[in-house]
Amino acid sequence: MSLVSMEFLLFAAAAVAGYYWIPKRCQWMWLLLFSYIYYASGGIRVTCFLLFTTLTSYAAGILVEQAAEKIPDKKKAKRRGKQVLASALLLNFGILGVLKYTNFALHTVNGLFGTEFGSLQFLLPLGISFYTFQSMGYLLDVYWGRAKAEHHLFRFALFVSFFPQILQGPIGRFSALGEQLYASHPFDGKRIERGCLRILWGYFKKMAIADNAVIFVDAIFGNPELYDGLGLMGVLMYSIQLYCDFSGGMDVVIGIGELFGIHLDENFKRPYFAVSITDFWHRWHITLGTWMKDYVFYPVTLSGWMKHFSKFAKKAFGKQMGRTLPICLANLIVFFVVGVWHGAAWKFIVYGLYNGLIIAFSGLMAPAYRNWKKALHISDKSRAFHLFQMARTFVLVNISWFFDRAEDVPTAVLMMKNTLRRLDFRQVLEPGIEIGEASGTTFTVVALGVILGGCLLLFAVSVLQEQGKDLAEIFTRQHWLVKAAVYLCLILALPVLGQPSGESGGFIYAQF
Amino acid sequence: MRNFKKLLLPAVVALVLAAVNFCLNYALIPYSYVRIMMHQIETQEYDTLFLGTSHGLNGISPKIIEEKTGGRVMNLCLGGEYPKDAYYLLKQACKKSSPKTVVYELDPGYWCTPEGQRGDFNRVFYEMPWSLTKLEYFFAKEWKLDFRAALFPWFYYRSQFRQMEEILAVKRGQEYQNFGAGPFQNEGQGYADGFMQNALATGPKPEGKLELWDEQEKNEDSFRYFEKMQAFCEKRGIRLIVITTPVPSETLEKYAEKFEESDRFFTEYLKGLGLEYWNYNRPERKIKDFDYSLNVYTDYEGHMWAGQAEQFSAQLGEDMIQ
Amino acid sequence: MEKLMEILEDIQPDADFDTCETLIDDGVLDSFAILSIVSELQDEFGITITPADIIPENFNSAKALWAMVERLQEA
Repeated sequence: MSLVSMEFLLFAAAAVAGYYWIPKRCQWMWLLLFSYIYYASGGIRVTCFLLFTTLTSYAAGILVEQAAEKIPDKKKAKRRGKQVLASALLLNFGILGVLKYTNFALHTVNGLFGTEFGSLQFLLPLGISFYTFQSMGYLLDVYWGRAKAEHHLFRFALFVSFFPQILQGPIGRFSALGEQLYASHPFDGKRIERGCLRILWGYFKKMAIADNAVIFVDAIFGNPELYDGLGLMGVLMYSIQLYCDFSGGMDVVIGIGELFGIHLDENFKRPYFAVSITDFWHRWHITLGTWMKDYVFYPVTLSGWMKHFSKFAKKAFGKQMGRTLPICLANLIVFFVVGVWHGAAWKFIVYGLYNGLIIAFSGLMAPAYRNWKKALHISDKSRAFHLFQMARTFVLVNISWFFDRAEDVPTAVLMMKNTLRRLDFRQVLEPGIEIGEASGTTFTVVALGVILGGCLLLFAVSVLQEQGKDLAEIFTRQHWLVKAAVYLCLILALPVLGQPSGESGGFIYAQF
Repeated sequence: MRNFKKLLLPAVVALVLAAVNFCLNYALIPYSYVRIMMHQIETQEYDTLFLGTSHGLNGISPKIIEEKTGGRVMNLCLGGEYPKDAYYLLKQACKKSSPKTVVYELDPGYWCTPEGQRGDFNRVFYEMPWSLTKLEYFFAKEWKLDFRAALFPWFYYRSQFRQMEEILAVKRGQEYQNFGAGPFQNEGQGYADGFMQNALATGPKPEGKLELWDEQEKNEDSFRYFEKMQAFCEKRGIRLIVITTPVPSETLEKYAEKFEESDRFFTEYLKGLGLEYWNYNRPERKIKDFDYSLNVYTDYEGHMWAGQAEQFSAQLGEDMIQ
Repeated sequence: MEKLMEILEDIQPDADFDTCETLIDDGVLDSFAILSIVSELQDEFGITITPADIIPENFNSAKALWAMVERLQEA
């Protein structure tokens, strides 16, 4: 059920209307019912995968907790807990791995050894990586004693399947989300207004900005040789498309959560204002970043064998290096996983490692940077330096987008070369760029104008948000006529400025 | 009082949207012969209905068929009409008529491509008057689509704003009010005698991208709704015939394999359903006095000019009474 | 406690560890800094810090850090 479909709109409306009509104590059951209807509408067979993950993590959570509480011998208890945890992790990540990466593995083996394994057809349950990450995060929290196990199966099932977020995140934490899902929520007009505004803003970003930008992205990345002067434009358009598509989808999801009185985690905080790649990952796909940090980065760095490596490194390279090197290594592992998560292809691994290497490098260089800045009398607080950092980060991020979007690694490299060698924006007026009913120069100019206007608006909003202004709150305090005007402008912008959202109405991140 | 005020905001938003929609639908969506068709099936009774694609719209003359078969004939073929649209058109038509025969003109391309979202794809839905059939059609067609398709019908006609004046002039005119076909007359074609009559075109013919049969790309919906159509006909005792219109001999030669494959597949498929399939591209299905050369067709795809259409319709009518 | 302050100053010289109580919440310490601190604390005080200990409450101030070290030393 795509977020832009008629079906979804009516489904969400029915869910919200019923939610405030039924007795408050039944609200969470209502959400569970709708979440399963939502999921099953994508196929009964894939629902089995969701059920499997729900049941195994539910059972494992309780077993882990019982091991800690009921087995008196601490060592034994720990071992038992570890066994349960390991089997649940293995099973669930195993399914994810087999479904998503078998063909990539076969393909790689074919390439290495000249074998001829054919590709296999797998069902790919919707949102499998999102709900798997969410439930495994819960399990690790229980194991580490950071969360209590949920003993109510149906409540737990709701945590795993909550319908607005299951398709493309945000990845929720049990500690923050669980309570909210089960609590009763009285009707709150203000929250409904906020939610509606957020949803419309999300659709605006997706339909009016991203869906216009995608025309240029597809044309340029699809024909890198034909449009050899447009490499720069292609990647800039892609950075616009990707951000507006993904964060627009998040706005819709979070807005719908708001309609239920449920606050979902933010996934984006003005990522293109980041001052470093580290900062970028604190602002881009935040819930994936924090998930990776808490459940991969820290555990790997604190693991026994890393400790040994650290001791060895300190002896070999001195204190400072020895301390940082293991962290860099763990960081590379994390970004390798992030790359693989984005897709089963080498270009995504390059994309991940590229990010990891930059972060590791700046980690290693941090003391040197500090000294340089001191020597050159550069203050972190100066405006010019801040802008320089933002520009530098933006360039680094855009380099990574080449790998993310181009067909494969060689194409990405070719496009980057072209970008440096040749710049010819006039190519954009050549025929060939078209979508749906429209093509030609006039269309191109209009589409570019809409993208530019949309981005200016987005920029203005982002600056205000960066300054800490709660725009939705300000909105709710306005006269109702002002509110009506804002709603109307946003609604009408969708058909006036927006392009059809592809034949399938797809969001990029809805396929993970 | 407080409650009333709370409702003001959504009510005003909804009202303004409705008003904007009404105006833009009127100003941006051009007059279409689909409106004439809808009007005719609502007000008149027919004995034979033709459903299908642009090939049928250009190639089947109801008047000639009427001369042969004696009953009243209506051609409901349209460019972009998938079996799904055909099924609901049939249902709508059968509210007034009790046809004895339904002829489905089959273009294999419509059975192996997804329904697009461009141009007039939503027109049949838009022109259909409100009824339970339309509601059913809504769930079948609009449900999975981008919500703008159903909520803002003018969305797909945005680029028409330059022609707004003409559109408004036509809609204010007598012809529109009386469901006349005058506005569709131009040099290349005109809607008359119940079908789209192409003028004889000279010079090189556009080849474009032909949508040929590809079993790998089956559109399951097309099969499903065709079978629904068959069940509907069976229930009402309607004879259902499936035909494919002849394409230029040049096209047939060039894509011989694809056409044979398609013929084999659909003959088999329709036989399984117990239906007759008259594929006029088969060598044994001769059409009397028919010119197969590309010269007289409008394009490689096989849209006929009116003269050919009459020859073809005469043969088709002949075959129907056999 | 002095030893701890020394470690902290060494890793992040520009932070104000004496008064700041929101080292994590305000992003003064990033994950690299956190893990550097953890690594030094483990070596210096002979304690074992597990992923379960890495929560904002333990890292938001120097005081909280010291409390964690003392707690882990007892265990």
